[in-house]
Parts: sequence; structure tokens; C-alpha cells
Amino acid sequence: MKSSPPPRKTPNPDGPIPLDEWKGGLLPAAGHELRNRLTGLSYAAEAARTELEGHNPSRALHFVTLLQTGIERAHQQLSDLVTAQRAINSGLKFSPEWIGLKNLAEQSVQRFQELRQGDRMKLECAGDGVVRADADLVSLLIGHLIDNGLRFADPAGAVEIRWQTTPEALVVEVADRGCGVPPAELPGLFQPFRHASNAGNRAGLGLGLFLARAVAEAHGGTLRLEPRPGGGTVARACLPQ
Amino acid sequence: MTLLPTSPPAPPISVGLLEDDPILRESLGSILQNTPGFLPPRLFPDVQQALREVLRDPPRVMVVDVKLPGDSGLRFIRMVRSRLPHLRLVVLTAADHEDYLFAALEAGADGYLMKGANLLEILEKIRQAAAGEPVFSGPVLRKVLAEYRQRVGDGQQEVRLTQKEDRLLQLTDAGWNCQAIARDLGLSVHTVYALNKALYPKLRVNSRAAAAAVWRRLRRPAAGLETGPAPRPSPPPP
Repeated sequence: MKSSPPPRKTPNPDGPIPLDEWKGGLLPAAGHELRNRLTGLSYAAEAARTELEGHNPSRALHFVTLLQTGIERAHQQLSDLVTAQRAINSGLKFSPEWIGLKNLAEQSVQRFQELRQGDRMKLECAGDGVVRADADLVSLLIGHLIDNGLRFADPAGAVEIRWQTTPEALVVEVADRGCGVPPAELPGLFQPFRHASNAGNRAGLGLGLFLARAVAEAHGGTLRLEPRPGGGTVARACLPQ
Repeated sequence: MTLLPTSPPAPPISVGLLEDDPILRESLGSILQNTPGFLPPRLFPDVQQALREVLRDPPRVMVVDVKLPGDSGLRFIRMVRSRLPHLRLVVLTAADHEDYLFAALEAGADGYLMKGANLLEILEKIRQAAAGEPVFSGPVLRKVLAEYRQRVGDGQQEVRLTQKEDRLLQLTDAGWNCQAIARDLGLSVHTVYALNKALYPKLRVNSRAAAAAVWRRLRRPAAGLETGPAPRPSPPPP
């Protein structure tokens, strides 16, 4: 039996994402992750109860906090799943408006401030004025890029978010100092449920980059991932104006 | 009046838990810790740490989430089984179909429990596993029985694979995606999808991962206690 690898072809980083596999629906592939999460939540509730019965209120409180985080996460995953399926079936609903860049940048990172991750993010805004974008979609895009960054950076590591306007485009970069991704795997990571081989147990549901790219494309733009010199990954979204 | 002699109480059970989800790991850990008859469990977030510590100082029962990144839960079972024949290895999984059931049994698991089952039932099964019994969640046992009946019904018919199918499964097992496999076989990616679909009923699976697991089983029929990985083709291309 021959076992030579197929000839290497440099894939086009902006080439279409093969989606035929997912026409039938994303739900079956997400079932395991969602089920796992729900089981975790029911165990956490049981753990909180046993700790209370053992008169250990501080431990019980710890499990209640785990429950809240887990439920928040499940909400997010469910919403991602629905949005991703919509993107595959009919495309994302795109309603651009003129928004101040600073406003847009601040709105987009609001959720992470609420999740007390704000101090791990360095925000940089170059240029000002107004940009034409769909604020909800950009918030979805930037949210997933930051989420990936925070997940793969060292626990205390920062994630840098740079906003820049040029006459032609709005460019948003999210850079982390995480473990990086083997360069050969970068283009494939935009496919649903694809994880980098070194993601280990930091991997999430696996729809974040797919959604982020769908948002960039709804704006007529691109999203690319590149290795960051010195370690880590840079995600660069370019939304033409 | 004297008390009737009773059998001494069973010693508390030491449990190791290999689970990558932090909420599941911590919660199940706390529940075991607060359940009479169990020692405070040892919690392992990843295979490396579990291997290191379990080989040095094995617990009585090791509970393993089989669907860890890169199928490493199965590898863990295979490696530990060959070195610690007396350790009780129990799979705890959230897989909604029993994809990993036969692969786990082949790797040397002593039981297969579904996470969705009632917690009391899971604790009881862990106790039974500590006592040396094989343990299965109800639906799993039905699946084993159904598979057995089907094999008997089939007259133990072997699954025959064409050369193309064999190569396709080998590459799937090595982690290649459909595009790369299509290039390797000189087929369109749609033909590869179609080949995959046609293979599912033949192998009685419903995912590429499961098909690869069955292929591995077919290639190594006596692989019960083997430790080495199957011969692998080159790593996946970009």
C-alpha cells in the first residue's frame, strides 16, 4: 500500500470554506459538547447541594459560581450554533451603519469587562472618525477573536487589540502570546469544529473562527490568521470602507 | 447480648478522575469526596499528568473521559492497561452514540458509563468496578447485546473493504481531512464524501471518527492488549 502524502499545494487563505458536510446541520456535531456541558452543570448543582448539606457554604458558593459561568457559556454556545447554521443556510443578516470607531471598539469589548477579563486586554485605537460596519456582527467577530486569544494565552497573558482606519479599510488585529498554531493548520481552522492539533483541552465548541470569518465576509472583507513573530498568533480582519 | 459477627466494612475506594472539563472534574471530585466509602479522589486534567501519577501510584479505580483531545483517552487506557493489569479502568463519556464503546473495550476498559446516567447509579457502578465487576450503563449493555446479535445473525461475516476504502480509512485514522484524502486518492472531494457515506452502514457507524476506530479494530484483530500504535501514514498535509 502506498503511503506517500499527497502533493503539497499552498491553499488559498481566502478560498471558500468547504461547507457541503454541514448542509444537513451543525447540531449533531455539537451534541457531544453541549451534552457534556449540561452534564457538568447538573454535577455542579449536585456538588453545591452536597457541600451545603456538609455545612460548607464557601465550597457550595464556589460551585454556584461554576454553575453561573457554565450556564453563561452554554448560552453563548447555543447562540453561536444558531448563528453559524444561519450563516451556512442563508448568510448573516448584514445591517451596516456609520459608527464612531472608538465607540465601536469599546462596545465590542464590553462583555469581557463584565466577565472580569478586562485587565488582560490591551486596547489600542489608531485613527478616528466614523466607520461603516454592522456593530453587532463586529462585536461577534471581535468577541470570538478575543475569546480565542484569552483561551490560548498564558493564564496571565495579555491580548492586544488594535483598531486602525485607513481610507480604504477598517483593520482590526487581535494578537496573543499563546502557544501559536502550526502554520500548515492555519487556513483550515476556519472550518466548523476544526481545532488546532495543539489546542488540547483549551478548545471550545469550534465555531468561533468560522463565525468571525463569516462576519468579515459579510462586510466584503477578509479574516486571516498568521503566526506572530516571537510566538503566538495574530488574527487580522480587514473590512473595506 | 453479643452482636452477630459481620463482614468487615469494605476499605474506602481510591478513585482517579481523568476529565478535561474543569466543571465536570471539580464537581464529580467534590461529590466523590462527600460520598461515604470513597477516599478523596485524585483529579487529572490531562493525559500526561494522569499517566505520570497513575503509573507511580495507581488508585483502585480510574475513571476516564474517553473523548479527550486527539483520542488521547483511548491511548491512555491502552498504555495504562498494559502496565497495570489490576487497575480498574472505567470510561465515563457524554458521547450520545456509543462510538467509542468497542474501541474502549478493545483498549482494555473494564466498563463504559454514560455521563447522562443518574449520579447515584454512576457512584454505585464505580463501587462495583472497585469490587472487580465489569460495569455498563443500561443503554450501553443493550448496544453490546445488539451488536453481538447482529454479528451472530451475519454469520460473523467479515467486513470486506476495497483498496480505496481501506486507504481512505487509513488516512482518516491518521487525521487527514476529506480534501487531502481526495487528492491522495485522485478523486473529487464529493466522491470522498460519498465513499464515506457508503462506508457508514457497512461499518455500522455514523461518523468519520467511528469509522476510523472500526478500521483500526479490523486491521488489528488481536489488538486487545497491544500498546504500540498501528502503523501510520505520513502526518496530514496542510
